[in-house]
Order: sequence, then C-alpha cells, then structure tokens
Amino acid sequence: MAKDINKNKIDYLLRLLGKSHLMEEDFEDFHQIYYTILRTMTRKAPIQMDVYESETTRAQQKVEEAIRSIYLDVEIDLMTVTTTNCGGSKASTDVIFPPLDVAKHENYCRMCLSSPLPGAFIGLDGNQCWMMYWLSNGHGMLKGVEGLPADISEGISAKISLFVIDEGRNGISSGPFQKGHVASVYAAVLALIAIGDFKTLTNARKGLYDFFYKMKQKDGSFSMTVNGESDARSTYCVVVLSYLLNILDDKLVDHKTLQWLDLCQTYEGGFGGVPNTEAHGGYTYCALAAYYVLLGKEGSTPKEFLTSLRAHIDVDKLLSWLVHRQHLLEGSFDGRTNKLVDACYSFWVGACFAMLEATLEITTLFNRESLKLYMIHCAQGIEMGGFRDKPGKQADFYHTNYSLCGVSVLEHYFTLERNGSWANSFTTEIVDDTNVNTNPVNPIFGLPILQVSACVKYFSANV
Amino acid sequence: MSFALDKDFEDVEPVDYTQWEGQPCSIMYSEEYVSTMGILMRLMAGEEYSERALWLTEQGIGLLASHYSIWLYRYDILRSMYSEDEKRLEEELDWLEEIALANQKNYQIWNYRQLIIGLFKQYNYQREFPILAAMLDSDLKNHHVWTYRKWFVEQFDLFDNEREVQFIQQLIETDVRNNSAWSHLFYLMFEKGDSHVKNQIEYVKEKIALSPQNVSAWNYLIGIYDKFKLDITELKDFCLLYVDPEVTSSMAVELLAQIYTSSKETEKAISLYNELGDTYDPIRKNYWDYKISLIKA
Ligand SMILES: [Zn+2]
Repeated sequence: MAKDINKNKIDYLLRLLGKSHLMEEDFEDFHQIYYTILRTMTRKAPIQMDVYESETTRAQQKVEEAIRSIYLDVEIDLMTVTTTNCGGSKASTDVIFPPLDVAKHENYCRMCLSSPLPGAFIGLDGNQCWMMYWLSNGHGMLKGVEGLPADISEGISAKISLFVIDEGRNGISSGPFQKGHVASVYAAVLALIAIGDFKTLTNARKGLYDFFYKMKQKDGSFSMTVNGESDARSTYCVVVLSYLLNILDDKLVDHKTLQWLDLCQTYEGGFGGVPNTEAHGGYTYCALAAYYVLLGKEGSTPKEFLTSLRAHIDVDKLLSWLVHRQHLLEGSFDGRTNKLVDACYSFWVGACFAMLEATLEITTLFNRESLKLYMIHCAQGIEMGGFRDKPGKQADFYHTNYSLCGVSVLEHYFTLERNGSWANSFTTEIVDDTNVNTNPVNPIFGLPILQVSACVKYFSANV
Repeated sequence: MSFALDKDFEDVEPVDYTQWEGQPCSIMYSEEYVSTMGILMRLMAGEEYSERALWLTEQGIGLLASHYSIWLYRYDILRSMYSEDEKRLEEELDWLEEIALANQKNYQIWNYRQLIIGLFKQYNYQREFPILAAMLDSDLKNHHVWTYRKWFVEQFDLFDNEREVQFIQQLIETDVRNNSAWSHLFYLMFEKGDSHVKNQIEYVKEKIALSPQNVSAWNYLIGIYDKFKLDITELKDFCLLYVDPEVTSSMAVELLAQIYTSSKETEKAISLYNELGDTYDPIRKNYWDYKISLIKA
C-alpha cells in the first residue's frame, strides 16, 4: 500500500516536469544543493539491502515507508516552487527548511504548564518535577521568546518547594508524599535553573549533599533512592547536580565513580546503563557528560582534556558508535544498534557530538542537514505544537524538550574555551543565521548555556 | 486477604489531593485514584507495615504501576512482615509476574524483583527462565528485561549455563539483527576468559553471511578482536568477500579501510573512505572525511 502511494507521488512529480526521469540538472545551482541532500536520503539505498527478513527489518521498513512518503511530499513542493518560477532561493529554502513554528511551540509549553492536565496524564503523577522541567526548559530553548509569565514561574517554585523533603536531606520527591529520588531532584533543580530561581535551591543545597552521600554505593555509582536502582543515569544526575549546586567534593565523588563509569563502555563503543549491558544513547549521554564534570579541571586546552578523557575511555570507538546512530533515509538517530529512529536522540546522541566536536576541534562530525529535515518534517507537531518521537505518534512533553535541545545542537557549532570547569566552557557559533530557532544549549546539562553560567556564578558567590 | 476502602481504612485521614489544584502541571485525578492514593500516601508517610497496607499497595500499583514510591513501600512492608516466609515470597513473585506481563515498559518491577529475590536464603534460579522468556517474547529488545537478565546471569553465575546460552542463540537464530541478544551473548561468552574466542568468531561470521549489512554482527566480531587484542588484519580476506567484486556490506568496506590504515596502506584506506562518503555510506561523509584527515595528519 504505502509503496503504491510513494510511486504515485513520484509519477506526479515527473508528470509535473513532463519527464520520465528526474535529473539533478533540472535544478538551478542553488536549489541543487537542497535537492541533493533530500535525494541522497530518499533514493534507493546505495547498497542493496540484504534479503534477510526479521522482526527488526520489518519494523524498520515500516518506519522508512512512512518517512519516505513525507520527504517525497517535500520534494514535490520543492519542484513546484522551482518549476513555477514563483519563488527565488528564499522560497525553496522555506520549502525544505522552513523555520520552526516557534509560536506554536511556545504556546504548547506555556499552555501545558498553566492549564489542568486531563486524567490521561495520571501516568505522569510520579513525574511532576519532570513535567515542569520539560516544559519550562523547552520554552526557554525557543529563540526570541519572552520568559514564562510570573504566575507560572512562581507556581513552579512554589510547587517544587513543597516537594523538598527535610530541607533536602531526604531529597526532593516528584509528587505528593512520595519518597525522595535522585531523578526527581535532577528535574526539580533543572526546572528552577531554567526559570532562573536560584533562591529556592539555596536552602536545599547542604541537605542535598547529605542525600547524595547516602546514595553512594561501594562501587562508586549512586542509586536513585534507598533500595532504588543505580546506573549511569542516577550517577550522572548526582555528578551534574553537585556541580551545579557547587557541593561537589572528593568525599562525595571520587576516582571510584570514574572507574565505575569506565566499565559501562561496551564492546560496541557506546555505554550501557550498568557494566556489560547493551550500549544505549541515553546512558551514553549520561556517562560522557559526567566526564566533562569529573575531569572538568584536567588540562588547559581541549587537546589536554582529550588526553585525560582517553585515559578513561576509548574515544575513537565511542565516536564510531555515535556516527552509526544516524540513519540515511530518516536522517535522525536511533538509540541502539538496529533500533528505530526517535527524535529524543537528537539530543542524547546529538549532545555527545557537540561534546566531541568541541573536544576534537572538528566543526561537524554528523549530518546536521539530514537531522534538521527529520526534526522539521517528521518530529514537529503540526497542529498543536510540541514534538513527537516519530510520525504516527503524539507530541509529548519529554520529546518536546529534548527535540528542542536537539535542534539547538544542530543549529550551532560547538567549541571549548576553558572557563573554570570544562562543563561550563562551551561556546557556540550559529550554523545558518538566516534560520535559527533555538538558544544555544549546554550539552552537558540540557539547559541553555546562559542559564548554566548564571547558576554557576550564583552558587560560586552564595555559598 | 481482601479489604474494603470504605470500611477498613476509616481511621486514616486521606491526603488531600485537591491542594495541588491550580499549580503548574496539576492533573485532573479520577475519584478512584484520589481515594486510593489519598489513603495509601498517608499510610506510607506513617510507615504502617500491615496486611491492609500491603493490600492497598496492590491497588495503587494497579492504578499506576510506574509509581516508584509504592514499590519501595511495598518492599519495606514485605521485608518487615515476611522476610522469613519463603512461601509468601514465592507468592509475591507469582503476582509480580502477572504485573510484569501487563506492564511491559515498567522498570520498577525489575528492581523490585531483585530486592525480593535478595530476601531468599537460597533461591532456585530456574524459576526465572519462563518469565524472562515470556517477557522477551512480547518485546525482544526490552531494555529493562535485558538489564535484569544480565544481573541474573551475574548473580547466579550462569555464564556456562546451557539453558541460558541456548536461549540466547535461539533468539539470534530468529532475528540475527537483535542487538540486545548479541550484547548479552558477548557477556556470556567473554566475561570469564578467552575460551570461546575461536568458536564465536566462526559463529558470528556465519551470521554475517546471512545478513551482510547487519551492524550488530560486525560489531560483535570487531568487539572480540578489540577485547582480546587480536590482529584485525587477519580479517582482510573475510572483508573482501563482501567488497569484491560487488560491495554488499558497507561495514566490510569500513573494516577494510581500518585494516589498510593499520597496515599503513594509506592510499587504499583513503580511497575506501572516499567511496564510503561518496557512494556506500553518504550519511556519514563528515566522519569518513575526518578519518581521512587523521590518516593524512
Ligand atoms: Zn524518545
């Protein structure tokens, strides 16, 4: 079925031109660049897919068909613009890379923060702080958008204050009467930093140190809560939070934490959640970002930092694993070998690229244009705003935030200029100044660079 | 044992869920949710360890299986009341299996299962095989289940367990692109030493023949060479099977380029990286160009 639809589209495209084949010469120079990007993605795979069929290949084909169909629509629109002479380069740019619908995404984040959520959201009752982080930070990533209205940001501060348990000594929970949990602390602290409320955090800082210390495991990792799981994610959370709150010391996090993280790198090059599990984009992000904090004072140039990073992990294998996350047709990243693409990996995997590009001093190591096509045409929610995992799914808060952070990665080039810790030393340059929709993201934290440096400044002065 | 919400909890003042109304991201809870959770959260705050509290956690989990605090509370209750009663703990695992099958994406269940198993003096690990098989049957790549399975192997030292190895190889037979199964097999085969190296190299080569573009299998092969510091130039002829006369695997081209790089045949390596970028694997062109720049540097 889907194949027929695609064939019809191509036929239409060709009839439009009165031709039986499309040639690259059919485009003016300017348009040809865009056409080539799209065509590289949508044409038949350069190597005939092997004939092997399984659940994996069937799931992959289904996604490819849906996405090829979307990109063929873009091709048709591009052809229409170029052949009817009704637009110059601007018109065709707008077909292939139209600006994000910033106003709709702004509205989505603000409305979801301020209106009561229907009963279907009960599934997120244990993620109250997460919802506030995803939406306030998604909002803050949008370029040229004013801050959240005071009643909303005050509401966020007030709600999080209620979740702080025993001045932080038992953590921060994520819902009424729930237990303290490292991931909830992470979401709560990031939500407060996103809205620029450092005061609420001041009272909880010392208590949180005690809470984190209680979570420390013999092997150097940290657990989410008493009797909770400990993995690269919980460990990352403790590491970055103690950095942001300026409570990181050798007693809390020592060489054992680094040694434990080292063990999480797998034979594929990415990192698993715990040693000897499958490499996964989310855990790879957590582990790599943690090194930028833990080795934050090592060396004075990116090169020297790279040397100390290489003493812990195999950077070349990691990079090789990361580049293989990008799919040719879809343009976006999967999270594991032989899995389907998903928009949230635009940040989990994209941020790893931002870190490594800056460290290896290479402008770009992945294909930014292809990822951009996916984010605009496949992930962006058209009607209500927000972003979704992939076509056929609904937009949600989680994917909205990480997609916007991911778009920020692809809209900027990253470099490191040592300024205190490496984690706070990212500088950026805009890739295409005619089309930029997001503020520069700090890849270590999933927050705007400006908010991170404001936070670091605040807690170095107010201790 | 069964209880009634309206009779058996009369002495408990429920938490007032309406106090959260009007705040950012407030949820319009259902009445059932509020009445159950209202009492449950109060009992939890008071650390009541009782039969009725245990019953109520089950109701709460039924309403929201991803509610981490309820799982931790249930564990505390069970440990304080039944840590010596292995028959009751077995029943708990039975119940847990039903919940797991109904909540495929939930991960609290697996952490909880580890905690419960930790209460047994001697645990018959055979019990785990059917439930793990059933879970993977409905989602072959369920990350939480695989992480649990890794813990299971480590905990009960099942590296050479025939049932475990056969099960994993069966999954690979069914879907040679199941990367979770390959990752688990790598752990089983190589955690305890190099005795499986030779047979696994042969095994994975056979699997590559079935599906030459399968990254999982190539990663497994290269992973063995890296882990045991073997010489990758040995793989040159094997790569050529998929490069000459026709390229049927970009992974083979990539590995061949790496082999030429390590044997200092730089021109051959550069031309393969160029072919990858221009023809066989254009999405990664920036990376192939970077590899070329490393050779030239
Ligand atoms: Zn996702």
